[in-house]
Amino acid sequence: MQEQGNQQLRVSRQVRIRNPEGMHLRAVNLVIQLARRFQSSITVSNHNLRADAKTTPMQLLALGAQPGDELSIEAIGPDALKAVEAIVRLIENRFEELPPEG
Amino acid sequence: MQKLQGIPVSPGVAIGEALVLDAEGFRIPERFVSRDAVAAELVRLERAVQAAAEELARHRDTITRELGPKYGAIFAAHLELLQDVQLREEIEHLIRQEHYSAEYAVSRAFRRYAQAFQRVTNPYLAERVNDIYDLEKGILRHLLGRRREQLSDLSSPVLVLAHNLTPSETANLDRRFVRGFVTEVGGPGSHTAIVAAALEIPAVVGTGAFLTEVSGGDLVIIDGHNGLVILHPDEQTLARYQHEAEQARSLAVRLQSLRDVPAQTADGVRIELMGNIEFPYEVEHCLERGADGIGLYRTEFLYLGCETEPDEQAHFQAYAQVVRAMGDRPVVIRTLDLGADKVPCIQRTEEERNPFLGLRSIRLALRNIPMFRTQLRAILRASALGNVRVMFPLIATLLELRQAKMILADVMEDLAEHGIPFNRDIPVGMMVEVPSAVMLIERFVEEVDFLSIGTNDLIQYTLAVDRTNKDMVGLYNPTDPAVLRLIVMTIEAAKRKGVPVNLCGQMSSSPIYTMLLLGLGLRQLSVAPSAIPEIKQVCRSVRIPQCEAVAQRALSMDNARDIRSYLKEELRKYVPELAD
Repeated sequence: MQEQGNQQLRVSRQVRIRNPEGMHLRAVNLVIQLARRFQSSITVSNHNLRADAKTTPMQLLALGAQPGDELSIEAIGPDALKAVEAIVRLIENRFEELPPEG
Repeated sequence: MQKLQGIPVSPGVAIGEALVLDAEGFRIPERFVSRDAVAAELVRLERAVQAAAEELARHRDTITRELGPKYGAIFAAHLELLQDVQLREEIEHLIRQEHYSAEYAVSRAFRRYAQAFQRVTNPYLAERVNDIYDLEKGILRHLLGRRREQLSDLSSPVLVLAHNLTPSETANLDRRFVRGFVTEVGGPGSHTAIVAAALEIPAVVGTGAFLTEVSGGDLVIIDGHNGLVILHPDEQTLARYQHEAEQARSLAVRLQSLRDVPAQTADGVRIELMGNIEFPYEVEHCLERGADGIGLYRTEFLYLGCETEPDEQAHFQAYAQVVRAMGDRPVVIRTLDLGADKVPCIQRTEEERNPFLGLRSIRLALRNIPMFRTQLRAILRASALGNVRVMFPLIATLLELRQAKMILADVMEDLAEHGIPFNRDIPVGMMVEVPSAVMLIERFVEEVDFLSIGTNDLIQYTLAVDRTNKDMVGLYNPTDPAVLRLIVMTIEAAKRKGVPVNLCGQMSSSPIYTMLLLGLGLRQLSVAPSAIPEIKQVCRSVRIPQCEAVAQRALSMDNARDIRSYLKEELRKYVPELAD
C-alpha cells in the first residue's frame, strides 16, 4: 500500500511471527537497531497495541508478540518502503540476524 | 476491590499494610514527596538510571569478552530497554503529576509493563517478565542505596506478600511485626505454611500471580479461614472483617480460660489433647494452652535451610529443650519426614518425576543410615530426660518398620556400650498415612507401641490427589468416605490389640471434625497449638453417645460434601460459637 509521491511515503505491511520464542528481548533489540537505520518513523502494532520501533523497546516487548500473532509494520517518510521491507524480512527470518548495513 | 482465592494454611483474619517482597526482598513503600521536592526526585531518578545503565554496560562488556557477543547481547538489550523514551516519560510523569517518590514511581511504571505480560501465553516470552523485574531492581538498587528497607528492620505491623518465601527470608523476618503471609505459589506443605502456623498468624498460599496488582503500603485483608486475599477492600468489606477480627479476639480471650481445665467430655471421658510442633519455641504455645503433651514433634526444620547435615548435638539440643519443658508429659518425636529434594546435604542421583511417590521420609532415612543413626542417637539421649516416644513416618511395608526398628536397636547397643543413658523401653510407633499400612494394620499393631494417623498424607495417597495442587483442592477431603473407612479400620485394629492411637493431621485441628473423631473412637488428638482451646471446648461440650451417633450417620453417607455439611450442622447444634 503506497500513498503520495516522493517525499512522504506511508507504507504498511502485515507479517506473522514465526519463531517459537516470539519477539523476545534480543529480537526487540534487533528491530530497534534496524529501524534506526531509516529516516522514516516506524511503528509496530499487535492487536490493539502500538509501539514506536526506534525509541520504545519496552513497548515493543510489551506487545507480547507470540508465534502466530500478525504484526502490522507501518512507516512514514522518504524511505518508508525500504524500512518496512527490511523489518518484515527480519521477522520472517525469525530474527536470525541483521542484514548488512547500507 | 479485588479478591484472590488461594489455599488457606493458617487460620485467622489479618488486616493491614502490605509489604511486597520481590526476589531480593525489596520493600517499596508508597511514598509521596512535596511539590518542592519534585525536582530533586527527578535528579535522583536520572542518577539512578545512569548508574544502572553504566552497570549494564559493564556487564555487557565483561560477558561479551568472556562468553561471546551472543550472551552480551542480553545486557545490550537490557540497556536498550532501560533507555525506553516512553517508559522514562511515564516515570517522570508520575513524579511530576502524582508527586510519587522516585522509587515508588519506578516500581509503579515497571509493574504496569509486567502486567502486560500476564496475557502472554507463550512460556518463553512470558518468562521475559523477569527481565523487566531485573531492570526494575537495577534502578531500585541505586535509588534505595543505603535506604533500602531491611526485612529484619521493620518498625510497624505488616502483611508480607511474596512470590515465595525461602527459609532464610522467613528466618530474617522480624516476627514482632509480621501479621500475615500471602505467597503466589506453594501449598499446605510449603515452608510459608509451616512457619505461619508456627507463628500462629493467618496465611494463604497458592493464589497465583497477583503481586503486580499491589504496591507496598496498600491496605490488604488476609482471610486465613477461607483462603481469601482482598486487595484494596471497600468500606463494607473492611467493616465486616474488622468485626470478625474483633470477635475472634474476644473468643480467644474466653477460650484462654479453658487452659487449666482438662479436655474431658460432658459425660466424663478424658481426651488426651496434645500439640503438633515444628520449632522448639512452640512448646510454649502448647504449655500456655494446657496441652497434655506433644503428639507430633516434626524434626524437618533441623534439615531445612542449612547446607550441612545437622550434627547429633544440634538434634539433641532441640529435643532436650522441648522434653525438659514438657516435664513428664509425653513428647512424640517423628524422624525425618522430607523428600530428597528438600534435604540440601544429601547427594541426589537424579531428578525424581514423582517426588511424593519417591525417595522421601523413612525411605530416605533407610538409604542414608549414618544420617538416620545420628538422629536416633539424639532422640534416645533425649529419652533419658523425660517421656520421649519415637515415631517413624510414611511406613508402607512391614519390612520398612522392621528395618527402622533394627537400626534403632543397634543404636541403643551402641549407646549402652558407651554408657550413655537412655530409656531402653522407649515406646516406638508409626505414622499411619499410606493406605497399604491400613490394609495390613492387623499385622502392624503387633509390632508397634502406638499409632498416629497422619491424615494429610493419607488423604493424598488414598484419593491420588496432590494436596499442593491448587486445581485439586476440591478432591482433597478429610471427609471422603474412603478416608473415613481407613481411619475406622485403623482405630478398630488398634483397639483390639490395646495399642493407643492418635490422629495428628490437619483434620484434628478443625472443630468441625472433633465430634466425628471422638465418635469413631479416638481418645487422643494432636492438634496445632493454636487449635487446642477450640478443640478442648468441643470436647467439653459434647457427650460420647452423641458423637457416636454423629459418626454412625456420617459413615452412612456417600460423599465428602454431604458429610462435611452434616458435621458443620451438628457442630452448630452443640458448640454454636465455633461453627462459623
